[in-house]
Amino acid sequence: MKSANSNWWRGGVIYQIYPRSYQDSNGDGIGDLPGITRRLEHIARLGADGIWLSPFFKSPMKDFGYDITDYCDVDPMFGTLADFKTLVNRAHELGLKVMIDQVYSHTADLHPWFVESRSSKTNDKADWYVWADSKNDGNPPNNWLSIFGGSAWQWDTRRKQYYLHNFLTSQPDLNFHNPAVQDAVLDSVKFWLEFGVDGYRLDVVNFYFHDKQLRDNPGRGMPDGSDPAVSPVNPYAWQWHHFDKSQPENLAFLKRLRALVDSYPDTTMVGEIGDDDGLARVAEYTGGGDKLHMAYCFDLLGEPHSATFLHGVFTRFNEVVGSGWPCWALTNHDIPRVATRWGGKKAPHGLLRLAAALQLSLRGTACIYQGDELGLPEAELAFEDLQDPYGITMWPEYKGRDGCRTPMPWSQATADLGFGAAGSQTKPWLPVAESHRALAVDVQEADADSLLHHYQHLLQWRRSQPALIDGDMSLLPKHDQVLAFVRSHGDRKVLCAFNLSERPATFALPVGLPAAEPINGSGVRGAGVQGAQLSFEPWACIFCTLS
Amino acid sequence: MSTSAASAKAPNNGWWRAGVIYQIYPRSFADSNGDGIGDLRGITRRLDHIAQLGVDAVWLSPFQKSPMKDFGYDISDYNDVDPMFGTLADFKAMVARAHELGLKVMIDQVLSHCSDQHPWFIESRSSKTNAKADWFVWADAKDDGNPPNNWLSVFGGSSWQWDTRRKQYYLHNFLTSQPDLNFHNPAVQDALLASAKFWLDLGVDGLRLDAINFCYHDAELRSNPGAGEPDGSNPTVAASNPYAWQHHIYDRSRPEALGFLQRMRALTDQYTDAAMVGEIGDESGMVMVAQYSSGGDKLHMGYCFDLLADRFDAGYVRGVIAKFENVAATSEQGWACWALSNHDCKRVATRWGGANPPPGLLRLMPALQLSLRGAACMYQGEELGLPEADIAYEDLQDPYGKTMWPEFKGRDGCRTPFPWDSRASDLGFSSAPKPGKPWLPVAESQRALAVDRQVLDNGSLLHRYRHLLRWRKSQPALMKGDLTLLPAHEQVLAYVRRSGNERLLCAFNLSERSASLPLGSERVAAVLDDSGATGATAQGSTVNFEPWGVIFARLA
Repeated sequence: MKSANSNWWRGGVIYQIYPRSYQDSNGDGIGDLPGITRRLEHIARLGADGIWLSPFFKSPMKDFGYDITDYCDVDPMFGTLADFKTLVNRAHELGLKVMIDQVYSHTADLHPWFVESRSSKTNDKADWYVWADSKNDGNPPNNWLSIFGGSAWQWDTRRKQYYLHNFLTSQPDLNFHNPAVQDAVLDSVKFWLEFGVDGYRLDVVNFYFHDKQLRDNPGRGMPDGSDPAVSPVNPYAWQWHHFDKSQPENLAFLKRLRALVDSYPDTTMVGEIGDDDGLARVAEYTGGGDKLHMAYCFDLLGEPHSATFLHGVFTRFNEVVGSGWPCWALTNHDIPRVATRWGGKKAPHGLLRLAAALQLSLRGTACIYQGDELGLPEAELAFEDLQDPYGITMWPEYKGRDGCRTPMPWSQATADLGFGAAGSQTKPWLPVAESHRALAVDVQEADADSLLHHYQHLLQWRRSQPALIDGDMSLLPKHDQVLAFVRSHGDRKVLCAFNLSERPATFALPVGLPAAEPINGSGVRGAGVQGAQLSFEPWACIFCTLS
Repeated sequence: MSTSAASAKAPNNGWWRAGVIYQIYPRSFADSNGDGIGDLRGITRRLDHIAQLGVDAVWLSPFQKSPMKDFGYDISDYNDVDPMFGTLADFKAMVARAHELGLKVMIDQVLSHCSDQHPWFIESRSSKTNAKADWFVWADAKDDGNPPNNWLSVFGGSSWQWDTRRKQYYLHNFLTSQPDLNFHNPAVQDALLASAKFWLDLGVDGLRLDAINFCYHDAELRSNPGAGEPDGSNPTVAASNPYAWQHHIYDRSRPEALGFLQRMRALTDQYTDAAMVGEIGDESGMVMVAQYSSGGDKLHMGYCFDLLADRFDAGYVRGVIAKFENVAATSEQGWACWALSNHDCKRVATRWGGANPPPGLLRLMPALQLSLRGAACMYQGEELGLPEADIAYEDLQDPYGKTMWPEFKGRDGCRTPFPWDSRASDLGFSSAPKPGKPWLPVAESQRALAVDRQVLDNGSLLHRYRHLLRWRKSQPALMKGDLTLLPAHEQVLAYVRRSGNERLLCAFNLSERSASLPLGSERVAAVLDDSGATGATAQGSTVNFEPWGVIFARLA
């Protein structure tokens, strides 16, 4: 039953589209599928291998599509199934794979499954969600917390029981311990595979199962802020999440999922993993070739980005991940944009160029979030403009996710930066960021030295470097300013080195390393090699062959 | 203590002891400016209706500045009128008109908590070190990030809300947008007393203190004991609400409240004929009514939920009265205020009478309420026998109902616009030429019961109320007599009110079947037909009742 797989995804580059904010074609202020279809050439020109679309399925939009009421239909806000078919066809014409984002951990509370489940303790779907009696004092059955604030348990007066929700109360958690739930989920996977999608991004894939005994998570006190997956101002971060997620039963389900996906050619899956030990989960979920193809965790989605921090991440990655395969992202729709997160108020141009080179030379697949190719800074929003319920709850210490979700800037001269339909007066669902105007696509296309051209060039050049796509990765010794590693594919070895500081730096190559010869054509600059010594301007990088 | 400086005490004629207080819910009484929300000018315009009814006072639910998350029970400025309702000048005009009509004016003070938009809270949440840092109830998380104890909000979920600024939880017994004021801090008490003084100086005659037993919490934050799933007999909270699964011994009803009430009383006592009634939502409400109103130095009277329950059979009501008589006898001067409906519970016509309340039951209710010992609060529309309005989920405004739907549908059903005029599409709620949509839909089930219809019908419930309220004032036994319960009877509730030599039998058939009440050695001397009560006849030592029959009779 297994179909052929070209492994395009190994070392491929996936461009993430947040449909609400990419391109509005019908003038309602919200991006849509025909809008995306219109803009696919931008992505093809960039040189990505595929796109990942954040959810566009039927949804009451309490969490902007991550709360689904029908897994197998398009929300009218975004268009129709026919619009999606057109999008897939056009993407395929342009050589782009299409991955969709499926949210199986939970549904919307308006999903017919939940409407039925909550109606009584005895209906057919009574056990499709995670229901539990209250404690004797009316409190929830255990100490689990919602990421979005408060207890992870919501009372329902119909059943006089609590139901589990790891996110919003309007996102009840599906009970994967029930095989019927697994079957229903797999049916929807099959629907889209038959439709012609090439892969899946699986939202919070480690949240599918919970501990059947509902044991309390151990407390850990207020964290020091080094865990990029959660903000220390969020009480969720005060627990070790041993029991509410990342349960061992998930592996068997992922095998069922893989068996299904493997019956379609050239398909792939990338799982999102938010866990106390993300890399260990990546290893567990992607090792063995019979579960996920790849997974991403949050290690590069935090603020730390020093050479020593990154050295630590990749050291651990090499120790832990083994045969697994990661996917690296510097930004996504849940995280402040990397330009601001790493670069502060005014990100150094060199740092932005470095970030691209670094991401695209790591062992693993790369996810580029829309607008990162333009070096967009995080948009600043007034409290009044907030849409994200997470931000509204956690304001002001954590401002939510709207700042990376503002409309994509296509053209500098248009009031709405080209996001809306031509001539549309409708206000976009989030305000456009004026700080993005000078960085719009049309400006950068016209400037050969722009970050956009740097991305286009790097992506093109990288295709000629098998060591960067699929090679092993070995780290050179730790250095205060410089991160350096060697990617090897057969007898081709590529040295990749990055000055992650705003000061000039030198890096002595270890004794015994073959002679380093800079590779021309990558487009990176500002560093050179003299014998066994690399020297860097601030934020400079270099690629060398070792021979 | 200096607070007991009785020198400043103003005279008090005790009007409130048998007083009848008419509760107005300002959003829903009368809309003068056509914005779909009732207002003070609307109330002023309609005061005649209340005066004609024959009550002693009005109590206005909150009209102070508020973001209206809980429709005014979340105050952001204690000393001003919300523009939605009008201005301070409008309020003064309302008070002046009420006084002209011989009506006292009581206002609702929501002291237990304020709005999260109140400047006090904005300052308090800004840091752990600001001047008001301790004005609210802040506590660190447990080691696992959970709230410090098991207390629950009446409106659902934990009663602790995380704040990212202070990285602490704050207490809220109701909505998260209603942070609980910390009464352990004397500065908080002073600020609230200053606001009470503001209104008393402005000319109000009394205060209704919202959720007053919630003002203090246990300073040690001890967890409440669990109670398991309740049997549904507690009238203060629905059994489908986890809040009912605890014994609330630490999150409210703390002994320190008595000290604050003494400070409130010392202030109120400086104003002539002023009175305070406190709302007491507690499992042992009647005991607390006694405690809070005893000794003549705390509340004038307390208001609990015992007659706001679903049950009203003769045995139940007799038990409630017995409890009150017992505590009134054992606690000096304890005094109760009886309500059958209010803005927080299902209207009594539906609660007791079901989908089609028997007319006899509707006529029995005022006779019962107005012959009990104590003050009475009647809720707007009760005089019309309004049924609870059915509200679709889409029309719900009450956050409590949205959370607890569908087993508990919230409080909107008793808050729909008042039906003044059966001919107007909005039932006469607004007096503006082109009024906006009312904030809650008018109830078509109330059209035929509108004031204009009942005024024209001498047999209407409205006329029944008017008559009873006047007749009652002619009966010293009802106004100030003591009360003795007759022996329990399966269907009939009976008691004797006595003033001097006058002994007045009050008896009610709280069933839909005929009944017969033996009076033992007692004999009826005269049936007081002028009360207007019907459905019962006396023959010597027996009273025979039709279903829902009522009798007032002088005993020999």
